[in-house]
Amino acid sequence: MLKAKPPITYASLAPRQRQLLAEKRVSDRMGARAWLDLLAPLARFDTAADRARLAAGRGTFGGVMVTFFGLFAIGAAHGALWSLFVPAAGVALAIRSGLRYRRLGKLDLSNNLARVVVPFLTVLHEEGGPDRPVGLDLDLRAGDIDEKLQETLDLPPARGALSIVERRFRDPWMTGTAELAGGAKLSWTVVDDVREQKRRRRSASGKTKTKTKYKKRSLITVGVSFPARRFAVAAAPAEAAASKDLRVESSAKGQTFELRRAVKVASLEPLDVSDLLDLVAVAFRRATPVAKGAPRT
Amino acid sequence: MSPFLHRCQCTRGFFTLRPCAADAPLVCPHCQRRICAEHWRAGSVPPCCVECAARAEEARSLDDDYDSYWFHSYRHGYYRSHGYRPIYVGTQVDPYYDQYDARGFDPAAGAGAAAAGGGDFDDDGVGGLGDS
Repeated sequence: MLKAKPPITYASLAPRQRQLLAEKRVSDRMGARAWLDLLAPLARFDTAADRARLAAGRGTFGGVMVTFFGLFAIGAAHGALWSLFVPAAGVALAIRSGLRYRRLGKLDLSNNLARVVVPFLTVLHEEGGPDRPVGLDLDLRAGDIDEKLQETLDLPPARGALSIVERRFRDPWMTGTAELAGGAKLSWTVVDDVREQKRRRRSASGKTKTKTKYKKRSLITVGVSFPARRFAVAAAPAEAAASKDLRVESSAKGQTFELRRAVKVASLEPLDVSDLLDLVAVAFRRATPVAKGAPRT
Repeated sequence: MSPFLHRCQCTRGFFTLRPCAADAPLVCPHCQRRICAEHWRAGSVPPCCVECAARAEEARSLDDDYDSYWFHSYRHGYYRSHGYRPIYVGTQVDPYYDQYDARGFDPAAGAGAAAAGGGDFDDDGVGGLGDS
């Protein structure tokens, strides 16, 4: 049987991890193993905190409902002493769960950490080794905070809407560099463009309802440099040369690929780490390691 | 190297594969390869190497721990679903990785190997298929 890992609690986090949890940003250059030691426990903590936050949200809702129906119970029981405990318990549950929900909200990190950053670092750790330096600049705050707001647009109402307000955010949340096996150098940037659309409309019963939708476009840019003394790289195909999503620069020292890809999703969910790895793989598909002492290409 | 010293036959890397080469006290019951402690999955029934476990089981969900087993599961799934052919820089051709259709050294480049001399692919002293 596999040993179950002990749950990560706030108290078990190191001072630097707590600092990162508070600031939600980090910029440093260290080995992949050191990055994983720093970030993997935080990712586990965040995943557990997300679950706890969801439970606290449900608890708050449950407390409000118990309070609401408890007030009816007082009337039905003609003010009997026991009936007073029902709404009181509901209020206590709502307050306790609400405070917990708020406290966990302050500690919340972007799911990009657990779904993209840590798996990507795990791959870099295996590819380059535990000690090769990885430079990383991370912003783990939510993508739709005011600080990242670029513009607000009042769109013309359509399809029965009273108003449509669109807010556009730009979130350059990850930039990094790493050295891979064979001396290949990797750099990458991920920028999320988030569109939040709030649509107000009047329902058939006359109530005004607001619906919020999100669309996200993640622009991934990856650069891979292959040293000529270790890699022979196939020439770029003609159609690729004209593409703005693939640029190849060659010199005597080697060849550098710059690749871009936009991934669109209709939510705030993190991108799939495979999308990031795919771009690096595009460059590696074209590279062949040069055997010992082979003539340079 | 002592003939009695066994080295782990699992591979490290994602875009390029290279031998692990750590001391390997264990033998995988499925592939019969020598395996080090890091690449051993004691939780499987029977215990086996992480690569055999990864091939036998579905990859775990992404909210799990990103350990050696997760990595090998993910790598195996990625090679199969994305058609990526990793570069193999080991000295021996291991048939275990045949299904990945791994790429070796550039044959044309390898032909000039003996004449030119120079450094290996990586700094770990591991040569390529073009080496004699």
